[in-house]
Amino acid sequence: MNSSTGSGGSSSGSGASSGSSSSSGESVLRLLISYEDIDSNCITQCRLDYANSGYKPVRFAEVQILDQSTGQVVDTESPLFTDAEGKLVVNLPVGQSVRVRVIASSKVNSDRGSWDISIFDNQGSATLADYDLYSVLSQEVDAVAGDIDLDLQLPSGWTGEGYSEPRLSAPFAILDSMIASVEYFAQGEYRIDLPGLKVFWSIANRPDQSSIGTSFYSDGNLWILGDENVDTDEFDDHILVHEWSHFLLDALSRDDSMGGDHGFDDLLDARVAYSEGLATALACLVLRDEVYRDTSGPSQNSGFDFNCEQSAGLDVPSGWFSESAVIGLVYDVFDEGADESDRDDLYLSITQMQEILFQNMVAQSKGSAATIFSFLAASLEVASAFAAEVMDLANAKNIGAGLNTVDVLGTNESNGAQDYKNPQGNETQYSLPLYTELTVNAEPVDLCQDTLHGQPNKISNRRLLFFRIEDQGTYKLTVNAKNESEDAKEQDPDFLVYSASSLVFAGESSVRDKEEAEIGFDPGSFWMEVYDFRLLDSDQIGVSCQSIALGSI
Amino acid sequence: MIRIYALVPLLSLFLSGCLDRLDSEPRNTLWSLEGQLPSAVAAGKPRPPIKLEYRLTAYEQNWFDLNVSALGTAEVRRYVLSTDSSQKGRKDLLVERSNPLREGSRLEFFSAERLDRLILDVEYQSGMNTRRHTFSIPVNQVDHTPLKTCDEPPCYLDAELN
Repeated sequence: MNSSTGSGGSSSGSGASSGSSSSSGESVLRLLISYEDIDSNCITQCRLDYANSGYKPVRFAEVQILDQSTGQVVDTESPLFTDAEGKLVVNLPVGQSVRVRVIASSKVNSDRGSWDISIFDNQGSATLADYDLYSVLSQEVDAVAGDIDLDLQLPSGWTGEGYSEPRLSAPFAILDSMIASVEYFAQGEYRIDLPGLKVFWSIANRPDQSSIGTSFYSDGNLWILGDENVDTDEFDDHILVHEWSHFLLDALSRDDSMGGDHGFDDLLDARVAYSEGLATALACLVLRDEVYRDTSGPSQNSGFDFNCEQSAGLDVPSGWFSESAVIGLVYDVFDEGADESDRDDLYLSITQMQEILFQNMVAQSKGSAATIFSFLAASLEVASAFAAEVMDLANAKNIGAGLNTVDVLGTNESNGAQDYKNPQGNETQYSLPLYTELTVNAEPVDLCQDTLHGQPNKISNRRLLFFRIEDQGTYKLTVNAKNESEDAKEQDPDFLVYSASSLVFAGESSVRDKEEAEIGFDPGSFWMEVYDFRLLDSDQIGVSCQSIALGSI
Repeated sequence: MIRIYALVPLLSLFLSGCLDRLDSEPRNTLWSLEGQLPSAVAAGKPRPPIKLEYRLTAYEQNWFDLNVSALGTAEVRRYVLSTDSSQKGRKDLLVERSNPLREGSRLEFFSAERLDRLILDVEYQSGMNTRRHTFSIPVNQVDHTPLKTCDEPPCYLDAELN
């Protein structure tokens, strides 16, 4: 991708300009800016491989020229940015003394797309606030007549025993991973225009409740760990791209996950499994590296890995409720399949990926959530010629088991995780159907939830329904607890109603055994989730059932 | 050198005596805290293939114990517990335990210093591989409020490049 900024121009007045021509009375400052990147590997054990670090260009990053005497930013005709090779040429008046400020921020608007990414120092705090941008200042440069070459290398700070020096490269490594992610998607036929992204990284970002807890995405912001000897993520590229993918899906596609704790061996809510599995698969695809790696520990010399191709026959759950299954399916659909470990011949293009994620899924019925079924339904539309291959891959992951097509609701899905028992030896009875239809003015429907495999974002914790409103008006939605036995526990039933990914109504009162509301609806399709807050808030394994009705008023 | 060698068994004897005393004498609990590792409320990157529950208890005379139990399917091989005092940096090994019990292992230790947090390194079996993961257990909750924010953005950190 070509940057639209930082090119052309000539000197004017007493200010600096970017360009490559020089004339008498001008000095040409040729900048080459790079950052130290540390690879990871899991050959013997997972670790950051400091012995094989290298310098990479600081691409498309904002640069300022500061007057040495005043400390003020020297005016330029347009903001200065490095190019794809980390280079920038600036014309300066001879005799001026300047310093160069390299900023961990990138704003690009090109023919392929646009982004606006900045890395801030949040000092370990999980609070949203205005923080300082990471930046690096060069030494003083005297503008003499002719060319001046300035090679700025931003080191990692690793000295062999630890990060004994400032970790200057970390924010730029994060920035570069985010830019590389946009570039991957921008290879498709459709422009990628992304809203602003703030990334918060700090050496004080710890993986516990006293700080940010973990690396995560939330509402347009990314939080990245930087806790030396415990958990740093600035060089864990798969994690950076995984979290960036949540930002991408939030901005341009559908993501209805409620978040929460999740792992490769968990049985998850369908929305969580899809969101997390897709994000990890995209990380492997964007990086063209099928081994997801997360390093941690003393000297960053520990960690774990997970193969997106899963060719090694890993012991992970298989089905729509498994992020591992989603990873394997999505990766197989889009991987180029050139390596010998690949088990499929299917390779959908990046343009097709754009159509699936950013067009078809967005245009799907507003009466369904984003799950692996809505992804598959969109894939079958976009790549209808490869429908059989797509369904073969899905079936291999026990998704749409035995079916030759699927819809957004997962209709006729038969894999309800019956093969997976919890530590007490029980399997869930309440995972299917994935959606239950609610009809206006019809008999109430009965649904149950359980917490056999954990809570609050695990399989069967929350049940999904869908309904259609034909006439604008006010409707009464009622969820009544069904306490069929005398020793049944008190419930706090709640519900959330959505149109596509927009929350329409939240029924979350603490009224005992009942939740009801009068809601104004326009005609359209809606989906909702029902759960018992008491059940999800408890450490005890349990089951709750309700009767749900929707009536016109 | 002889003196250093001689100190090692003496130190072991002392610690052993202390632990015996800890087990044999009634102890008054000062406080305790419990949680999950990783934090149960965390949303974000995938959790490693292990999940733990812990209960940290503080007793009189600077004695503590950390009771850890494994929830996941992976087999834990070893726990190594160390300190992370804000004054000293992460240096001090407190206690380690090989072949811990899944349902709960007590890691008892003495620390005269104010504990900021504990660092628990866990070695576990993952398929054919032995993997390690490091967890952070905050002891004294840190204020979430940032020390410094920017009055008129953008503000720059401006690290000096030598």
